[in-house]
Amino acid sequence: MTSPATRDPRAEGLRSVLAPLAVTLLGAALLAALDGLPALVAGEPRGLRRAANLEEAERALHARLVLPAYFPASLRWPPHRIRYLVGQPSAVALAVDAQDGSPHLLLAETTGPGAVPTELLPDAPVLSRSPVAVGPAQGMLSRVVDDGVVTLEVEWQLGGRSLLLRSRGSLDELLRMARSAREAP
Amino acid sequence: MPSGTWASLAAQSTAHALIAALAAEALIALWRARSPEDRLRLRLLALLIPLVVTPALYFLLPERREEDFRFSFLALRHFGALRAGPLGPRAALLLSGALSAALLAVDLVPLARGRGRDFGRAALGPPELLAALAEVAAARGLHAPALRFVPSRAAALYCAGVRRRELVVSEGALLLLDPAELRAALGHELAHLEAHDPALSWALVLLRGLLFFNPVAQVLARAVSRDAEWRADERAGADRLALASAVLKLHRAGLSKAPLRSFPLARRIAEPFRRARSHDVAARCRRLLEPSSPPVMPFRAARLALAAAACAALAFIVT
Repeated sequence: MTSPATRDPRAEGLRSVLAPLAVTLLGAALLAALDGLPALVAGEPRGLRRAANLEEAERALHARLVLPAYFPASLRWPPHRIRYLVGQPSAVALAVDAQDGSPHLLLAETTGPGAVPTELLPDAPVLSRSPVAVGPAQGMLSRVVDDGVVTLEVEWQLGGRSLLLRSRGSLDELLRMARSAREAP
Repeated sequence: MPSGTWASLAAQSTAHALIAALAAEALIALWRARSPEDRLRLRLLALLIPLVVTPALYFLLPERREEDFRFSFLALRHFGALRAGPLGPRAALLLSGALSAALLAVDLVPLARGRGRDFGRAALGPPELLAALAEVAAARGLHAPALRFVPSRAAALYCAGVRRRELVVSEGALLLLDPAELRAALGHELAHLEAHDPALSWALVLLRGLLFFNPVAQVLARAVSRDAEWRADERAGADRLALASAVLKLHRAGLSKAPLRSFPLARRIAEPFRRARSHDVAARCRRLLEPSSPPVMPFRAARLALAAAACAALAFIVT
């Protein structure tokens, strides 16, 4: 060990400053890496978060969610999975099962202008697209292949936010849900 | 993490304590801080982070807990989605709290038993003890503190008192130690009194009580206590070998007490803690076998300020 008498004061001064700086920077880098662990374990993209309930998602996004007022009795409420993404725009996706437990509906929406981030939507190749009226708004109806099942999807804008409903049910049910969507009371 | 205010605060407190402790240990290594005084101050500083910085950040800056807080490098609430087998975040927090309470109890129970122990009536100390104390105090340029001599066969030699400082020496300790060891042990206790260590130890008890749920704070507080012992060893200004011998003898006398019989597994549970205490004593003796005191690090005040800033900055980004 170097004795204090032989220590170079300038080197010691430099060490005094650089060591806390290095610890802070390295610590911050390690903490940021650790922050990615929950997403890594869950096998989801970084930044995607899960909420236990709608209230938690609304608190995290600082916004009330738009939900369909019409909700078929064949579906199970509350959503079995709520995932959200904070960014520009922030967005949330609710996965709703049928009463028999099979996946049935996905409702995704942003809290501001911009498209629903792709991270929230499972990959689904589009088979066909056609315009459709969703109340006063013009929407786009698509047939997509979601997890090997041909599924209907409707996208539209409401109050400056983008909404998307993807359902394995009938077209009539999908459009009734879309047209009944409004901010939760 | 659990969403309740207190659960969330407890989780942050534990995480901040862990991060501050690791940062302090990293700085101890990088700065080659070998003196017990330097180590004690850096660890004490780490201990103050969960006590002062965490509640201040939590209650004064609630926006840190929001999802869109841009300086959040690690958001503990995101770990709520992780499950380790059947353990949810709330169960993990409860388990950590139970561990912390156990660590606190391990130290507080013997303390309470020791305070309640009846040593018999205090008596006037024998002349050789009074002479040794006067000699050691004079060598340090101090007035001899009040002496409480207890005519008990149990070996006890310690200092106490925050305002009225006193040395407690039992007859058992006098019989156990030879004159050189006695002077070394008295020098060690006077060094404790000079450094106001009884006040420090009460402050640590209070702090541990306040952070009863935080296992990292409990471990850090024990490390600070060990550093205070080491500091008193270095400042004892006595024959280091005699002090090592006295430490060893007093420790062995403490070990040879009758085993606990309060409940069936008491001995088995107490064994690891007894081993840990023996390990601490072995480390102290090894240090005392080294010839000289380690050097104090230069620019200490500035370094402590920088260390505090580093720990607070790391706590700030863990939300």
